[in-house]
Amino acid sequence: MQAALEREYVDYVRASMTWLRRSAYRLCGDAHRGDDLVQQAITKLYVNWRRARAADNTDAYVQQILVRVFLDERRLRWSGVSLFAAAPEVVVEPDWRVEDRATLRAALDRLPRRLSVVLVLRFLFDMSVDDVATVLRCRPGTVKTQTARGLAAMRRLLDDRPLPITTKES
Amino acid sequence: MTRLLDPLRDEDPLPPSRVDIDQAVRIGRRRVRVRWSGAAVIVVVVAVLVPVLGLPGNGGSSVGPATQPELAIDYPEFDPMRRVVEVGDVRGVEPFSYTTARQWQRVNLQIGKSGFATLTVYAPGREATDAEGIMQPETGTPGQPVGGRASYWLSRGSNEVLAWQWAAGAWAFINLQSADDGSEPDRDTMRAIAQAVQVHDKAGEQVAMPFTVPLPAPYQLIGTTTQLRSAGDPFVRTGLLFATEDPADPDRQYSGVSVHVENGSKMAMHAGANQNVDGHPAMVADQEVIIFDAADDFAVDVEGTGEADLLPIARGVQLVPAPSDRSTWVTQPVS
Repeated sequence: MQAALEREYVDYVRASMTWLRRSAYRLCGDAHRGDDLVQQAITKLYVNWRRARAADNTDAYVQQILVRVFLDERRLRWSGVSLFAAAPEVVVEPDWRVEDRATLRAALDRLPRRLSVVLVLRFLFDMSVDDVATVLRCRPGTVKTQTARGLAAMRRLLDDRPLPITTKES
Repeated sequence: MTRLLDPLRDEDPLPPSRVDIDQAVRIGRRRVRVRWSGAAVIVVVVAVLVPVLGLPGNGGSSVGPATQPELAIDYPEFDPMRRVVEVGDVRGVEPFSYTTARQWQRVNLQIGKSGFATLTVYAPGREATDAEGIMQPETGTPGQPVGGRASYWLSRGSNEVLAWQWAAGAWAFINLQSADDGSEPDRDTMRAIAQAVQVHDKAGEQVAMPFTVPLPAPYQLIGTTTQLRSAGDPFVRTGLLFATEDPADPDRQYSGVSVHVENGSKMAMHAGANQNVDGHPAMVADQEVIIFDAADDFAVDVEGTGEADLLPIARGVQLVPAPSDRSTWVTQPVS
């Protein structure tokens, strides 16, 4: 890569780091694992930087890389087994919003990965059905079906373990 | 439902970043080079193999006797059922997880509230690697001796690493990620940790587990992982790691199976339970099986990379009668 292009890449990644890390955290629910995802994503981005910068929406292109990295994360990471398979238990003062988040996160983590990604993209990234379909390289109808399946699964999980406070729609 | 997910929008501060842009650039450059050199590599491989294998192109000559391989040096290994690394008291530093293996052992450390350090101790003669490749301590900047032996400061990506010899030909490394504000890693803390490290390579602390499990074929036991807690803390997450090859590099990805048991609030939620296994609620998926409430509030958590059938492995785990009582744990957990 030419030096100018490389500088452009570095500037872009630096400027995007906050939202990239936040996006990865929302996808996987673990900050350290999220950073690992970002690390892989920006490495792939380097290789494909010419294509990314030429895209209509570079941020969307990069977000797509991040989601693909998350979905493709299949192999067991040796040193991650102990560190990231389960976050250390932390004793905290009772905080119902924290409890909410832990309950929701645990429920999301128990969904098949594809369904949890669809829910995160739709309801935390506020992406349209069409945009999610583009990222996941599937048809909008598939996104709608998977959204419905994901929501139904979440309802089942949360009905078993209701939230400590009433954030659930009545 | 969107309201239901709203709590996950809360912008909790993230811990200091571990993302390394310099490393992405370096690895990205290599990948780009590999792309372009792929064809050349094939040509070179063919050029080398054809004469060696006596294929047409070598005039049909017979293959000569194989060259004698160099005699391998028989380096000692660590025992994966013993924790050989001990980190003495350092102000503000708390070990929070320990991974054993034959060629290295690793302790992860919490530094203050948000810092994080990785201490990796290699068995004698083992080559240390990280994401950038082989680490060559002597190429770094010499530091003050640690325990009377040479130490070096290495720059790896955006991190600074302290390397020192804990014995002749045996290296240890501390990688500290302390702050996300661009400040320099705290060399004093790294040195203090290094000074507090003791390696009991001939003995060490026997690892015990609150369960037994039959060796899952075709794997071998390659290590253990345990989350460490202060005395009196009832939380337990500990387990065994199985793979077909012994991991020389703690940061590489290995295909294998991990068998953990865990108590605590997360497992008490039974989140994701989708089956009943032997009378217990269970979450059964391709790459993870959790049997909840297996005994005494403990869950059995088996993860794998897809090659192994995880459910029989999980069902084969036998918890000791009182897993909360550490005095009852067993030191030979593989049956």
